[in-house]
Order: sequence, then structure tokens, then C-alpha cells
Amino acid sequence: MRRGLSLVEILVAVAVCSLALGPMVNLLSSSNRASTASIYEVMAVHYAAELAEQMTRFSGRLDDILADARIRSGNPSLTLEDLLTDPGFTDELRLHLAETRAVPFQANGVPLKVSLFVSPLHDRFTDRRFEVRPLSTTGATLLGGGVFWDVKIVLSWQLSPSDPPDKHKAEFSVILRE
Amino acid sequence: MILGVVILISLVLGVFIFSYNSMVRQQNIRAHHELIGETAGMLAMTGVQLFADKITTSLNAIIMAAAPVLLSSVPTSPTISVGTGHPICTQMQADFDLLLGQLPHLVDQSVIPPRSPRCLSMDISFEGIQQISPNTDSVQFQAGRDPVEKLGEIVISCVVEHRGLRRKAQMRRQFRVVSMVPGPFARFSLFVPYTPWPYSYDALGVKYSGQIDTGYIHPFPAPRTYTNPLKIFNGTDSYSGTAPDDRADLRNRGWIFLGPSFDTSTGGATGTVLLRLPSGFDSNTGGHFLFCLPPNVLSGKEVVRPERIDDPAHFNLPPVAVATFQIGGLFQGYYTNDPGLGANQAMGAAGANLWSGLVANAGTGWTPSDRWYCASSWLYPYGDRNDPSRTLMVGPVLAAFLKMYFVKSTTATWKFLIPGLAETDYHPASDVPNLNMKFQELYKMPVSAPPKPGYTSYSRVMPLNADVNPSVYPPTSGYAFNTFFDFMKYPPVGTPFPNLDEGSTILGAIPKPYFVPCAEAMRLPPSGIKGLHPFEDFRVLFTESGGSDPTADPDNCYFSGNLMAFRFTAGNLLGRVTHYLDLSDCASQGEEDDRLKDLLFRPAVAADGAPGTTNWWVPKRAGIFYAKRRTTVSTGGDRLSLPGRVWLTKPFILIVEKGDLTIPQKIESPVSGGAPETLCSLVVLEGNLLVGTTDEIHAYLVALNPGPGGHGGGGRVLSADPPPTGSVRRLNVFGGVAAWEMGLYRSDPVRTTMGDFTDGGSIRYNPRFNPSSEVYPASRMFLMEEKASQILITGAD
Repeated sequence: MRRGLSLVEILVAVAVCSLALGPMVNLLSSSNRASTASIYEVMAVHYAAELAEQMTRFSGRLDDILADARIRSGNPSLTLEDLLTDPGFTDELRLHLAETRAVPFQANGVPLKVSLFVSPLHDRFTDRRFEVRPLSTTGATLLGGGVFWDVKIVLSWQLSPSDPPDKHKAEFSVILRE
Repeated sequence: MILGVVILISLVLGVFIFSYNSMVRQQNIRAHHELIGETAGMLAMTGVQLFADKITTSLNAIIMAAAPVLLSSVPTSPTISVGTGHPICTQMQADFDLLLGQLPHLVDQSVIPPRSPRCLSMDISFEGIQQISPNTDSVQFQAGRDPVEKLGEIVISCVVEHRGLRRKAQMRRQFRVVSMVPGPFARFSLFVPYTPWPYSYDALGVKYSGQIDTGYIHPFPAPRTYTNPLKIFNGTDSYSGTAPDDRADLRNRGWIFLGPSFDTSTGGATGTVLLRLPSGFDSNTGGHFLFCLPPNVLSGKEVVRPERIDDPAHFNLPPVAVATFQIGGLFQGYYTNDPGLGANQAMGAAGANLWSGLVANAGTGWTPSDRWYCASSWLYPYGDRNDPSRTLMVGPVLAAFLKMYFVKSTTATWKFLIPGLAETDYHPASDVPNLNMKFQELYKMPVSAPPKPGYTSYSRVMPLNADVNPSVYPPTSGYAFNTFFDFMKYPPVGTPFPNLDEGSTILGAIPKPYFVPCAEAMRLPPSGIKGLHPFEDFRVLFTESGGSDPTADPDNCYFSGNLMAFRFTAGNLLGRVTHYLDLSDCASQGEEDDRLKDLLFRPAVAADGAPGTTNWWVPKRAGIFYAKRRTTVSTGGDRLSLPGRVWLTKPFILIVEKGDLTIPQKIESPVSGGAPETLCSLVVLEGNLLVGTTDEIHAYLVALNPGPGGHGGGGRVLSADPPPTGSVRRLNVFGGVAAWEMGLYRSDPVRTTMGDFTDGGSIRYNPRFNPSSEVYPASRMFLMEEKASQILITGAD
């Protein structure tokens, strides 16, 4: 008697494979995306920590940095928000370069003596920037009277080139006193 | 069968893929956990940083509230824990919580109600506390020792909760508690250990009225005219004449140390220093003192009252039938010009026959070059007539004065000076000059014959000068400064200081302390020199009640030793310096100036509150800064320079390792209680301080070391634009001055403070520099290192 596979058997096997593998492939793909997403999330944490640590260290020197910036820019009312959201400085932050580099603060396009050291931004990261917002100290006693800023560190990335640039982002905060 | 195989493979694949998916999900959760944890950690780190900033910017206020013993007491324990429950910590927690509540992007919307990050606690503690100067040997006391100065480590903690995760940030920073008083010399308004020669300071020409005699040219070391004195005001309040508590009053004032003069006979600094007091009665001149009984006020004018001669044993006042005479006398200062002297006016006080021992024939043996004997002190250690200022003079300083006697007719003018006569020229039967009477009619004959009848009485009323014979070098007789200015009396404490309490009762009766009623003391024969305050065994104490023996009460003794031997060196800075400014690799002076500017100063902004709006620099930080200069700098060579006008928002001491330091423009502090509130000291270790402004400098200036080779190599405060062509001829300081030398040399053309500041000026003492005053503890600053030695972010309970 000739042994072999009947067409029916093959068809059933193919059908079963299709039914089983389809969702599994989808699941695999989804897991891959999630894995990639978490990798980028961790990278974002490290990028942010790098900036946060340096910004925190500047905390006691902000007055000096701003005074210098005001003189160099000729703008006596220049604020920390102006400094950290300076277009030139922000463009420098989001550049994709090969090596760690120092990005000087800029005031109206004029570079200052103080820099931030930043790691190379991964190609999938589309943005690395600061958003700055003043905080109210109404009701505070020890911290009353000071000028405090919420310095938000924003990092955005794409999981695929077709994603919108800011589809995935992480936001961190440090509070600085001027 | 194949179906079974396919299903089996599918199951294996499924298991694999689900496992993979599970791992990815765990990774995802971990990443998200890390993101949340890192966010909480950043916020906690922000919290400790804000707390540290607050401690730094509050300039002691937080420390005074949280751990005042750090600033006020000798350390008794290596650890001080403030605790999370301390009001300062809970308040800081609440304030930080307030800020965390304003971060909308970090609000956790997954819980009801939505929750912001929260600060759960703040805490500070101090560890490893130890004294900066633990030694209590004589070397340490000679250098100065503040037992409260200490160092250690501050630990600041903050716990933040975000989305259910808690993170604790802990920051460790080195700290120092150091005094902004630069050293024991700051006990003094003026501290000058060395005097080139006894008459170094006597160079000011003064008219009989007290106005400056601008026609007088002082010959030493080169012809020069001094147009104003340097006045020392030793505190914030002038003497009120309302009998203050002497001990407390003088304790809170700056004292003056003028070290001994160079004595050619010993070849060392062992001689006395003589300050010739200037003449003056014209209140419009603002200067000088009169030394006499309290004044009469006639028709609203103060009139010098003749001294009553009430000594019947020696004086026979003329009978009323003959004439109405008064024999009067007054003590006054030296002068170089008296219009009443007519042709002899150029002789100054010498024209009144005050130097019978010096001038063989009154008026005739005098030569113009001798006029400098009549010049008075350029240094006024006691303020001026409008603002008399008590002090204690430390060192071998004599005050020289004149004593003018006269016979006054009630109808005629007065000031008929009786000339001095040697005993050999005196005859009782001779007429008294300018008076139609004989000596024997005016003065009683002593019972005993020798000396020549009546001469003893006559000698009592002869004019004299306390600088008996200027040709004796250095002066060996005279009146100690402290004896003369009895309104500056300091009650003795088991020491041979003069007790002139009798003077104060007279003084208490008059409202004008610039009349110095020291007649009793001045009648005493000048047997030796009384009232000199020793400088060789000197102590600066924190409190008078705390004991004065450095071996028994070391923590009450700031300084014990020889003032003249004090040196401001790196040796007694160990541990006190908070920042080293390394300028050693600079290529030029300009580069050094730029780096000093960048490291220490920044331009002022409106929030700094500087007067006016432009061109002020403010210190970036408080501390004791040691500027290490480039290796090619030599003493007296390149000058390091401050950047410009400095507005003091933070206290600092700048110590320059070698070379000179230029102060180009004013240094100003906010004023509180009549004195600069923010302390600043500028110290050159081997060079000179060069002052480029006549504006007031709110700082203590220190140039105490003569420099390599000595003799003009350093240790002076000089003008950056000196005479005769320069415009900076006036020195104005509100703080104090400590310089190795200040006075003129006799023949050496070396530049000196006096030679450079011919227009005088003023030194006002800032009592905040006084280690013995009640406000001294406020000079101690809690200073943290700017960078943390360790930051830990961990999970929290």
C-alpha cells in the first residue's frame, strides 16, 4: 500500500498553519514594535537624565549665566525661557551627529561660555528640546520671592519612518531657581 | 500525522512567541518603571538642589534657624542632625510640594483624583564636623584662632513620590564655617607694625587757626606739600560726651597700632613714634583739638578759657592796684604759620620761642630748613573736631603738644607770650617782656635759694613743647598718646595703663569732647613714658568675661603674641581658604585680570540693587579666595586688577599670592547700622595694594608683609595714580587698613602711603570686623562646596 499525504491533509495542515501563524506573526511584530518602543523609551530616559543632571548643576549659577547672556545679547530682560528655547540652541540640540559634543547656550544667536554636553541622538529621535514655564511661588515661604522655572525636557522619536515626528515622546521636568 | 506535526510546531512557535511577548511586556514595564523612577529621581534631585541653593543664597539665615550652633559654638559633636520634623525642613517640603503641584504633564490621570508628584520629606544633617584650627599652641595664637571655624559635610535628603514610585535623593557636600574677618589685625582701624623713623607722620603744615598751611613744603624725603590729614574714625558713632560706659564703648571701637620706629642706635625697630598734634581753634576748619579747660561761651561764641593759676606757693598774682592781669595757659597743637608772628611767621610755632634749647637766640638761630619741627601729624588717629572718635593706641606712640602761657590784661589784647629763657639768662629783677613788671613782682621767690630765685616759678609758666628736643633721636620723653587723650581712657585691668578717671568727671561736665581736659596728667613731670600700651604681649579676646589666659581659656582668645611679628601667610590660611583661583597658566596680566573677573564677578543686574544702573560688578559667590598667580609675576611687578566698581552682594576675602593688586574703582556695600553690611577684605601676601580711586572703598585692606627683600618690596597701600602728576591723592576706606608701613622715610625716596596720598583722606572702621564686638559671630559664614561630593538616588520607604 502506498503511503503518502493526501491533498486534504495538506490543505488542512496549511489551513491550521495559517490560522495559527497569522496571529502569532502579528503578535511577534507587535512585540517587536513594543520592544523597540521600550528601547527608545529607555534611551529617552538616559538622554533626559543627561540634560537634567547638567541643568540641576547649573541651578546655583543661573544668575551668572543669565547676566552674561543679557550682556552678550543686549537684551536686559532676557529670561531663562528665552535662553533655553533659543532657536539656534534648540536646533543644535536636535542635530544627529556621530559624537558627544558640547552645545553652547545661545542668546539671540550669540553663543555663551556655558555649554551642555549631549550624547549623539539616535536617528529615530526627531527632537530633543526644552520647554520652559514659570512657576508660581504664591503661598511659599522659604522659596517665596524667588523666580522658579519648570524646565521640561522633551524627547520625541519615530518607530518607523512613516510615523509622525512627535508620535512618541517622553517628558521630564526639573525645577530651577533663577 | 502531518497535522499533528503542524499543530505541534504551531504550539511550540506559540509558546516561543508568547514567551517573547511576555519578555517584551516585562521590558516595557521595566522601561516605563524606569521612566517614572527617573522622573521621580530628577524631581528629588531638584529638591535637594533647591534646598542647597536656598542654604547658599540665604547667607546663614537657614543655618541660623536649623543649626545655629554651627555658627556660634565650638564643635562638641561630630554630627548634628536637624531632622525631617524641624520647621525648616517641613517648610521646605511644603514649598517644594507647591512647585511640584504645578507640573501638569506629570499628573497621574490614572487615579481618582489625579495626583501630582509629591515631596514626602526633606532633611538635613551635618557629619564629620571638626575644628579648622584645633591647635592651641603659641604658634596658632600668634596666627589668630577662631575656635568656632569648622569644616564637615552637609547631607541633604529629599523624598519624592511620582505615580506610586518613591525616590530619595541624597546630596553630600563639604562645608566650612569661616569668619569673613581676615585676621587679628582687623581688631584695629589702622594696623601699621613698622615706622621708618620717629617723625614719619609729622609732615602737615597747619596755621595757628587750624587751617591747612598749603605754603608749607615738607622736606623729607623729597619736598612735598600735604594738603589734608588722614583721619581715622574708629567706629560708627562719634563720642557723644554723655559719659558712655568706657569699657563697652572702647571694646566696640577699632584700635590703632603704630609699631616702633627704626632706631639707628640699635639698628632695629625699637624707637618711639611721635605724633605732633596740630593746632587749631577755628571750628570752620573742622580739625584739631584744644587741650584746655572747658570753654566759656560768650555771646554765643566758644572762647578758650584762660587757665587759672591757683598755685600760691609759686605764683604771686599782681595786685589789683597795679593792673588787672590774668595768667593763663592753654595746651595746643603745632603750627607752621601764624600771621601774628609778622616777620617770623615762617618759623611757625618756633617763632614763639618754644625751642629755647634748640634755638640759641630766640628767633635768630632758626633757619627755614628747621621749620619741619613745627609740622604736625598727617595722621589724625582720633577723628576730627566735628567727629571726635575714641580709640586705644597700641604701640610706643607719643603725642607732642605745645603749652602756651600768657599774661592777659583785662583791657588789652591777650596772647602776650612770655618767652622761654634759660636759667643763665633769667634775672628776677629784669622786666617781664611785653609787660611793665619785673619777674620778682610777678612770681614769688622760693624760700630756698637755688635755683636762681623765682626761676622755678617762671619755668612753670614758660612756653614749652612736648617734643623737648627734636635733635634727640628717637624721642625719649613725651606723653603717651593714651595719657593725653584721657577721654579715650580705658580702665586698667591689672596692667600699668593710666587711670585717668579724674579727667572724665571734667569731661562729663562739658558737651564738647574736643576740648581735652587733661590738665592734671599734663602737669605731671614726664618721668619716663607712661601710658604706652604694649604690643609685644598683646591679646585679642572674644569676650572680657571669658578669661584672658590662652592656656586656661583657649576658646576665648583670638590672638596672643607680638603684634609686630604677625604675618599674613599661607600658613595661617590652611583650611580657611574656600576656593583656589588658579591663574598660573595665564600668559599675561590682561589674561589674569580677565580670568579673575570671570571667576569671581559678574555684571550687576537690576535685582542686585546696586545704586545707579550701570557698570557695577557683583561677586558671584561668597568665600575666601586664594589667587595663585602666574609664575613669572614678581613682587611689586605685575598688578592683578579688580574689574571695576564692585557692589557687594556677598562677602568675600580675596588673597593674592604675590604681586600687587589694583583697586581701580569704588567698592560699595549696603549699609546697615551705619556701617557696610557685607564684608570684603583684599589681601596681598607679598605685594602692595594700589588704589585707583578717591571714592570710598568698603573693605579692609591688608598688605602686611614687606615682601621679599623687605624695604618697599611690598606691604604698602599706594596710589595707582600718585602725585605729583597723578590725580589719586586721597585715600578713603570704610573698613580698615593693615599695612606693614605707611609713614615717610627721612631720606629714602621709596614710595609710601603718605607720600602717595598727600591729600589725606579718611579711614572709617567697620565694627563688623571687630572680633571682640557683639556682632562678630555674624561675620562667620556657612559656605558649601559648589559641587556635591556625592549624589545618591535610591528607592525610598
